Amino acid sequence: MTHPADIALLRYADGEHSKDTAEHLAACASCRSIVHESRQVGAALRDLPAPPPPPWFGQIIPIRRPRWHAIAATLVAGILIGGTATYVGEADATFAGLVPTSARPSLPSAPHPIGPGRWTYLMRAYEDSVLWASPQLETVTVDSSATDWIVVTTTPEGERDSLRVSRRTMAPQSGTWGPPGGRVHETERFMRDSMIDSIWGYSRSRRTAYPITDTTRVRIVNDVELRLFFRTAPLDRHWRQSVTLLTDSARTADLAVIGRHSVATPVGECDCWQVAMSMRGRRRVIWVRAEDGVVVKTEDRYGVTELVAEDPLPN
Amino acid sequence: MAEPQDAEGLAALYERYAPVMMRVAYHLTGSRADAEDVLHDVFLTLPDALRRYEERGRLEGWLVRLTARTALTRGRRRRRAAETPIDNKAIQGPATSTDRVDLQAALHALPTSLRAVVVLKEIEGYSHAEIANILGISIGASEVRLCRAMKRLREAL
Repeated sequence: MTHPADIALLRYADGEHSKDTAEHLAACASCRSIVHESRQVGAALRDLPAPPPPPWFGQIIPIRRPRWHAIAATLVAGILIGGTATYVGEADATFAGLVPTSARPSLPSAPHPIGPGRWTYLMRAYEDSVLWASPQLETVTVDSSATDWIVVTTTPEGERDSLRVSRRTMAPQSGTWGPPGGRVHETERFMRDSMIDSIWGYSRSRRTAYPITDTTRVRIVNDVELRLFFRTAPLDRHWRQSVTLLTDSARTADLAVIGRHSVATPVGECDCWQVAMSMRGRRRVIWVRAEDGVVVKTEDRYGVTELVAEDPLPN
Repeated sequence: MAEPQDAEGLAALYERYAPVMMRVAYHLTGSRADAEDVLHDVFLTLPDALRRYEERGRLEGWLVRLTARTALTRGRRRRRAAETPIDNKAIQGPATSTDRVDLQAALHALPTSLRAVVVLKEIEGYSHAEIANILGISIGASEVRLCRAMKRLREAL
């Protein structure tokens, strides 16, 4: 009699039943014994005691000072001096430096039309209904010229990223990226019909150059721009759009409204358009508040809710 | 001096995730003192590590991965330094049986590479794909290691 491999028996013990193994086990006491003992060992392992963690030792942990005061000062200075508007954080902030916050933010009670002089937000994130805020969020300043917005993102470490966005089409035009204290690199985007035909430059996250051929036409290049895009996209029940996201390569993402309903977030109930984003088989669902295009929740393919609430600062 | 908001945040993380991290660290190191050191090391570096965290997966999985890697690194350093933990006797629960002590001893006697897979698969319930990701090995390697480890544990008992 040929016995199944030990791996097959372990898989069977683990609940992965195959017909061949089951037929063999019915006739082989030796292999049945292995499966039985494996299950017994597994159950015993799960019952093994472990010591509880020691009491919280937070007082001895050195922690980087949060930058809220500096950021707040930047916000106020920007608003008072430059007439600019500022928000903190961005969609791809993920868990960078996140700590839970006891303060519950609120979404803007009135719609905040997109535009300079009107944006002042703190970005919050949550996971499993636990709310988080980051002491290390990036600062984004939106200023305007006659035809464009200039969105400048600055990290607490001094990294600076700027992007020129067309006010009319919301299409990115050009940008710069500079490491802390380092040389500023320019990105250039060559446009045709509000679409980018080619781009060469540096992304903030990857620090690599992107040659994009004429055959890869780009409309949106990162999560920040996707959020800008939702502020202006005329969502309705039949809305759908293909865009291109630039991560490590240019990838087409198909966006489509799949529903409209009320969504519970840590900041309250929001009437939202539910938008599905598919990109190379990966699906992400985005809930966009119907009244003003604010993204209030996202869910990735793992089912993790991680963002988003935007909190207006007093100005 | 820690800022209150950061301290509270880390304390909340600790309250929520320290038990599972301690369990993983303890079973991987085989020593309560080492496990506490691992937990301390992880939380000491957590403020910086969180700033680099760019994954979209569950926070608990990421913390367990940090814990496992820290514990395994510590194990390698200890072997190089030929140290022996001073409290390497098994932690005994209220209903400890001889079999349980034997199993714990057998688990801790396993090579680290095998023990890590057993702890993550059988005790923590991770899939082979997740274990492969955590340990930086292939799924097949994870299955083979589990197979070898379970065989040794069955024989030891």
